[in-house]
Amino acid sequence: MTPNPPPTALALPPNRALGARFGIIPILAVMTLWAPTALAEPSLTWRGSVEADMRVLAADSAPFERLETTADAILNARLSTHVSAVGNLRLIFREFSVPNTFGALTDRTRIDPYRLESDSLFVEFTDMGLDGFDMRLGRQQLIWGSADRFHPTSNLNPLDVEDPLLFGKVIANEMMVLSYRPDWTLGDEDEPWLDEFGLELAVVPFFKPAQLPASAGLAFTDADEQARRADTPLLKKLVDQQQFMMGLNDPWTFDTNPVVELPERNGRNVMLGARMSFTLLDVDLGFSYFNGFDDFPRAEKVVADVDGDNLYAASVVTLTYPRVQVVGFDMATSLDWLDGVGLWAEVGLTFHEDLYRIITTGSIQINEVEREHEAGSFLKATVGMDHSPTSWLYINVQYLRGFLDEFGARNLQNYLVAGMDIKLARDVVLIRTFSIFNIDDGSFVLFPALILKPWDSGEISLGAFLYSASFPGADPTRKFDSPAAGGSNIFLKARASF
Amino acid sequence: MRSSGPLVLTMILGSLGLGGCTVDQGKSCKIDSDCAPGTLCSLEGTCETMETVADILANAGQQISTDAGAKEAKGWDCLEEGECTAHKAVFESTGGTCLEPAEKRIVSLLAIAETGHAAATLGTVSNGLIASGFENGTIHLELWVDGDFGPGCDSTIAWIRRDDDRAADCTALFSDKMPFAIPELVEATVYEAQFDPCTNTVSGLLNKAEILASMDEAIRETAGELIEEDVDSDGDGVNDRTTVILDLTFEE
Repeated sequence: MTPNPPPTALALPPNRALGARFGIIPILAVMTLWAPTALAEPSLTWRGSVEADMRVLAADSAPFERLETTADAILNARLSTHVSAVGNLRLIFREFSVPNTFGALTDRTRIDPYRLESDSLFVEFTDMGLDGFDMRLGRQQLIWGSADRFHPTSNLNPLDVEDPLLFGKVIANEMMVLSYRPDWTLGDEDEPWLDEFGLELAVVPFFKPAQLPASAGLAFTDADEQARRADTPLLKKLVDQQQFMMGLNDPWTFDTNPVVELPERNGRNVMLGARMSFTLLDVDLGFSYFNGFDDFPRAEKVVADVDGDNLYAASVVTLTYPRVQVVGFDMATSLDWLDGVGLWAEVGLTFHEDLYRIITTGSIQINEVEREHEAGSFLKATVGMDHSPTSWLYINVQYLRGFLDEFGARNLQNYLVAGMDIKLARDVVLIRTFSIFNIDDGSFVLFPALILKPWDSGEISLGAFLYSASFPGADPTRKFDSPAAGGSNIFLKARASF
Repeated sequence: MRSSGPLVLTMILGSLGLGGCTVDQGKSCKIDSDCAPGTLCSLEGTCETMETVADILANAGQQISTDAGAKEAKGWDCLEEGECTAHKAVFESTGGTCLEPAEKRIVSLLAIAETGHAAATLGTVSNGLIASGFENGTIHLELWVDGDFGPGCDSTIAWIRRDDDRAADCTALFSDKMPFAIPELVEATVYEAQFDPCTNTVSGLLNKAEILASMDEAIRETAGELIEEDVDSDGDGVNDRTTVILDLTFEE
């Protein structure tokens, strides 16, 4: 291909012509490499879905937990050999009208509220001057790790735990991702012992916190929940003092107002991640590093304003996000000699500095600072396996060390996650059961569902999400028995995909 | 260009350890993650060590106590010099008529001092109740003085709530101890009670078990967490008493 001449004319003085000739050669070489390869026509593919989701709490009077209708569309645009773009938009109507003022009656968004979500909106440039060297810039979800849903090594995107039925859902982040996947192999061309080598570097300029369920607010409004969560001496002292004062014949009133302070948006707080992956002897391996913030909040300061005359105290609880570094390892493979059993393991070692908490209550005389977590590290892990012994049966079992919201070595608990799919009637009927069992305290979650696909592109789901709090013997001090974990519900969903 | 891609990524990976720059001690901050390791963001908005922040908080607490505890003169001048009022041993056992003390002062208000002793945490919740008790007459307390508090003078005191606090033999039920009540909450006694006429304070020891036993069962456990024992009264190496300081105000 004849290289295109540079955009400016070569009207150079004669004594510089030689230097100019040699100087222009690298530029021409680069432009040769970057010269567009003609793509016959841009390729646009899209798919979408519409879903209705109705849920009822398993409680007296069966209140609705949610009533949502969702339209989801994703567009993949392959615009040239080197340029593509992906855009996703999800429109969710919440159906919970909230016109609590007259003005709201004239506001459609209050009468018929909705929200928008987008999992991806980015541009990708591939083979940028080098085969396998790509850049992706924009909103995206970058999930690292081989485990199923629970990823201790994946920290670039915050979790969305608002909907318990959507385990592992994350929120897209604006980020720049550089990746290099050369076509390197070692060993026999047909059966290399090392291939699929890849390097990724991600830069996330702005931190985004995890989305929490509404029930999480009980940690600030429910006195019993506050007492259960007081896991340090100073916090316990504060809670004991409050409970004592609320138990008096002339009881005190305490209000708690949590406020969130995100890390400032500056260069100091940019989050970084890097990962190297390859397949070695048919085992997919990944090594990762993350430097940023944990996406679940912690109480950093409690400042109380005390009115002794009126027996009232209002506390402002400042919630912040601890700075962390995470070193990760993950592996996945299929054991052909064991009928193709899938096996994976993912380990994230989180390092953090001393985490402090200031509590000041003025005349109530608790004005102290404590070290909630000493500088150190803790290990979260997911180890699991899956198998389809028959065409109609699928089994998935995982062990978890440290749940999504647990932070600090002393707070990690152990879990068993197990699920099973049974397909019947030529895949028209799917019976799914899924459970999470807390090995340490015996609490659990059950997630049975019946999924019907009688026609192409359509699906009906009927199921339940049950916390052990709904069963006899519940103890609110246990993780899944706590009211803050959420309420058991029964759901009916209908979905059409196209 | 062909070999520069991996090199660039490797260089960037090598520099990742420097990511997350923080602010040094003494510099301004908003939250703890702004501060260098080993420091935290104080309420004043600067990165400080935990020890520095603890000192600041402790001083702030004492300042609050000082401000809140500032009271008018309590009406007892212990420095007054002059002839001593005779000490007549009115509280000693006799077979005859009991003599009256030189002075009887009615306590108009009693408050648990907000700092300086182990029972301070009771002050915030209790002082309002105590004040109400004095106001509505639920609490009545007098200080009877035999002798004189002046410099070099002898004195013996007794705390009198009602007539039967003085026995038929003229002895006082509460002389080296003081009755202590928080209406609808606590009935207790301050042991080894020492009255300081210069400051109108009583310092002594409380028995935590006695206090808790007098409390409603519903709040007993929580109250137990709040009252610390800081004195070993029997020398067995285990703290078994709680220091207390009471501020008194007397009627003119």
